[in-house]
Amino acid sequence: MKYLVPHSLAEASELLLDTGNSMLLAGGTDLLVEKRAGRISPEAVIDIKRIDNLDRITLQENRLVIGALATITDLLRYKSLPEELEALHDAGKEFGCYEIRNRATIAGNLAHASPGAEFGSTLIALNAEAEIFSIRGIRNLPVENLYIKAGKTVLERGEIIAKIIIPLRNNSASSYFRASRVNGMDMAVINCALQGFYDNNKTGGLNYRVCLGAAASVPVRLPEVEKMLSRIDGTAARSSEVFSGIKSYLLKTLNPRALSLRAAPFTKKVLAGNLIEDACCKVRERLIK
Amino acid sequence: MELKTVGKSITKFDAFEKVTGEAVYIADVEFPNVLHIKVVRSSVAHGRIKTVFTEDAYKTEGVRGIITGEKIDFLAGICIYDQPPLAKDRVRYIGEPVAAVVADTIAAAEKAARLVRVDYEELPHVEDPVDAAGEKAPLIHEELGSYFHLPGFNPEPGTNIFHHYHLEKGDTEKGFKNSDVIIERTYTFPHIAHAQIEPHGAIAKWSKGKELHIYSSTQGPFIVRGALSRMFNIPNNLVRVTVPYLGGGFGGKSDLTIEPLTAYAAKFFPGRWLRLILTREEMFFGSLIGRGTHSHIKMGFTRNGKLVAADVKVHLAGGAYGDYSINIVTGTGHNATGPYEIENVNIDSFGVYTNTPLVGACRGYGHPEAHWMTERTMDIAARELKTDPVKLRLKNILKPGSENNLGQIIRKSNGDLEGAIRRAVKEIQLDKREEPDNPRFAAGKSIAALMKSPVMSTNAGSSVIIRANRDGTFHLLASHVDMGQGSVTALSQIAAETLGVPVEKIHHNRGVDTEFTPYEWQTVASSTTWKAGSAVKKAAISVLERFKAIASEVFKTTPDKLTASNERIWYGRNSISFADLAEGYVFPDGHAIAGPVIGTGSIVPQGLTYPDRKTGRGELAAEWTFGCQAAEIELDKKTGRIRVKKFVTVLDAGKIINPVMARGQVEGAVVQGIGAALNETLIYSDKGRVRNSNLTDYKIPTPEDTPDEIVTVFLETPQPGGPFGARPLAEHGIVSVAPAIANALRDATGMDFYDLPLNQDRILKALYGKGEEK
Ligand SMILES: Cc1cc2nc3c(=O)[nH]c(=O)nc-3n(C[C@H](O)[C@H](O)[C@H](O)COP(=O)(O)OP(=O)(O)OC[C@H]3O[C@@H](n4cnc5c(N)ncnc54)[C@H](O)[C@@H]3O)c2cc1C
Repeated sequence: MKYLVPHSLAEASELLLDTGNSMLLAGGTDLLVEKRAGRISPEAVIDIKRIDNLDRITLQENRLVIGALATITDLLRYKSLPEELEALHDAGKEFGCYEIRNRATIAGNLAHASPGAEFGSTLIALNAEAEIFSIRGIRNLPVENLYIKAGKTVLERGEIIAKIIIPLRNNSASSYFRASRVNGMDMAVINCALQGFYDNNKTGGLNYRVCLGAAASVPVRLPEVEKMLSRIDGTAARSSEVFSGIKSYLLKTLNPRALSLRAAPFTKKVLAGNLIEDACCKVRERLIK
Repeated sequence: MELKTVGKSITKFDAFEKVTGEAVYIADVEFPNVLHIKVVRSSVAHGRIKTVFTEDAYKTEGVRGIITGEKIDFLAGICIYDQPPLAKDRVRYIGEPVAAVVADTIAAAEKAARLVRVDYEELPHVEDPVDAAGEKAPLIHEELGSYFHLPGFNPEPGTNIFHHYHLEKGDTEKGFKNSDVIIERTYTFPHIAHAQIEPHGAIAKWSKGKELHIYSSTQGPFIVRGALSRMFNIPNNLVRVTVPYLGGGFGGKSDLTIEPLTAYAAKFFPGRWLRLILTREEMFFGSLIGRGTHSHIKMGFTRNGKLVAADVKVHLAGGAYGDYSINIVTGTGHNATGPYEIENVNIDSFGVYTNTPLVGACRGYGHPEAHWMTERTMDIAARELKTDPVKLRLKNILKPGSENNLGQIIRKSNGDLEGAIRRAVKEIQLDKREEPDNPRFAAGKSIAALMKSPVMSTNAGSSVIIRANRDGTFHLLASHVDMGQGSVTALSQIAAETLGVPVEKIHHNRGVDTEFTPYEWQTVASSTTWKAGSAVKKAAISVLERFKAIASEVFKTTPDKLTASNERIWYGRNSISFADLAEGYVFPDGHAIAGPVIGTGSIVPQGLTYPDRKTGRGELAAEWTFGCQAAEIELDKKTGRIRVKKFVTVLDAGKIINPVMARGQVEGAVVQGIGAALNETLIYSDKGRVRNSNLTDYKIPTPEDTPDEIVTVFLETPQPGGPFGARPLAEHGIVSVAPAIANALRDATGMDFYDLPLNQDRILKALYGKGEEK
């Protein structure tokens, strides 16, 4: 296996195109696990860690931009994280353990496309886009459209996630919850990211974006649930009616994989409903505060 | 007499080298020209080997040989000889070694191993122990009747039962007739993994065709020596077993594991070291696993709460070979009814061959399995009898004068179970209820009592050597394996106390070498401080006697006129230092007497016998440790997760030699027990493959999963015969963790659970799953 070290995105993209069975290496926290398990055997790994300026997190006028090499720790230490993106912080705190957070990148988390990845559902709920670089051109893609199936994205040969762009939204709040088997390092049994937002003039009620991870082979938005949530009007009676409606809807419609090692389908379905309830309450609390 | 060293929390002797990374473990041991082994393992749970294709694998650069089991003409074992080191004609579980690829590098060995192809004729397989014991089950060992086994075991040829332990006391039929309330329940404890930090390793070399030296990560170097010596028909003193630092055992490195295979492969490469280090994944199917019981219990009580009869059937899924779990079958059997006196008892404990990885010793050794059913059932009985579960227990516990299942009469010196129960109740504040403010949580508290005896060979001996040095220091040589439990330190404390010297003057060997360190049965059964510690005490006394004998020559008197104190032998107001007596006493004119002083101490447990063939009773337990555990939990009904807020363990472990280390043992056991109670289980595919053979999906507790508060209390009723009154305690903290938590869960929610672990699947199904399919 060859180990290649490009110094620019263009060089990295070229190497990807030129070298047969090659893979990008960022933090390596997925790549090495896959290699050890014998699920991949690349002829070359292309280590992008020597490319300058890719680890930046920057707040621009109406968006937060996360560079391809920004790690979970970078995110957690980032001081100017806008309040409405608190779901990112929630997700970072659940993620792995200290050692892993120091290496794992957010872009790598997306690119690996594991169904329960912390940042898959979170970035979808936050309506984020990936800026995808290739020497053949740059394209922007909503994270929601990134996934094909577990472990597979729409990225083509030579393409690299260069940035993740998260739009800021006035009058919004977000949260992320996950269920896991142990409190310490674990993968999500199921996770839920939720954004609540008012329309521009704050005239109508609250609207929601909801995304579940590990409920299917890719993170899934739940438009029907979003609609149901928007009926919440702040009264306890209506909330409990809406949540129980959502729970029975999920029991009927979700179809998690039967042979998951982490939980039975029924468990996942119950947890999904409960997490959505928790995430929604948290968002409302954050918005109202 | 005031103790100076025993009873003090001396810092572990090996803490420095472990923290700094200086300690050498098996994987750190290096030799020139070493060859590496990669094991090709069975991919079917039960089948006949038709052909092993090795041509492609042989072509791999660096491959030196591929060894298969065809020519093996012996079976390995300790209690029952039922396993070849490599599968011969037949495979019985997924993971069973079929071939050993030997190569210059581990990479080459791994590459070649992937190219070995094995054709099998598949046979029906069975994983459940009750099914496996049934008449329709595929027979896993047709030859069971021809296997050699030690006395005290009872295989049933023609079935999958490799050991049936039967115990009877009184007349259960009469007992149940006289019962007003009968509780009958079925419990299961799944297969779990030990998850030691250090994977198993062995490095072996043959020379001259008849001498074998093996480095191994074993808890039982002399067991390994004996077994290899028998297997290869070479004398004991030409098999040398060296154990470097050991990174955790929990029973999973006791008896035999990968040593027969490594030694067998090495035989084909005389003069060269062959090295086998398991991967993390192989730890789940290539060494030993634990537990795996299906138990049925029926308990009969009179209206006023007297437990008068118990009938128990336990089926242990022992895996494809039974040698490693055969003693657990007996241990689970006679402990099956917990720490209670019952007049009429009938117990049948079956060790059953199953097409699964091999079950071996696992911290607790049958007792957690037994207490999982008994301590749950006692709580259920208290409800049915409308009495308090604490009172019900106190009414029935073994106390001085009671006769246990084995027919032993409990003495006051066995410990204070009643005191332990009362203390646990107090520590957990069982009478105080605090309902959580938030209705998503449910809170509960409960207790579970426990007892444990060390399950061991009747001749499980220990021996120790103490060498005196010219400067007044001592070498303590012994062959127990310190795998983190601190026995090196504890035994040094016993030596220092007995000799009357500061503990710094004792140096204990790290690691064991059967060539240099004296015989020890093995480091299991929580027995080292108590048993090897007694040998240490004897050895230290023999050093003092030797000192006195020499000094009596100097003082021209008899040894009985002399005393030892302050590192000197005294005759009236005259004295000679230990240092001057250590290596030959020299008179002022230069002439010397006596030689270097060595003290030895040897013991076997007193009075153990085989079980009576008919009743299963007899002296099967050299002593008992009693205790009680208590849990305070909070269930999050939305996540189905249990948080253990407080966990209490009270043990009467006799004199505590080193309080901090003792507490460390109990806390470690409690956390390990919480893992098994809440999450741990091996998950099998319908083909019999372990699906979660990694730490990603075999979830052990992390620091964030430990209880908010762990309370450990020691009562110290001295153990006669134990060094300074000590008795075993290391495994005991795990014994009743699961029932204490499940009882607390029942208290919190009104839900009864009979199967482990109490994970989200089970709890959420119980909370929300009415009418749901499985
Ligand atoms: C112990 C442990 C705990 C973990 N815990 C969690 C957890 O709690 N939650 C969670 O979601 N994940 C977890 N993971 C998985 C992993 O850490 C994350 O998915 C991580 O974000 C991957 O990032 P990386 O930089 O290490 O990626 P790498 O392993 O370097 O790469 C992963 C994949 O993405 C590709 N890739 C990397 N960067 C790019 C890019 N810029 N453009 C295109 N493709 C790219 C690589 O080629 C590779 O296929 C854990 C892993 C381990 C080992």
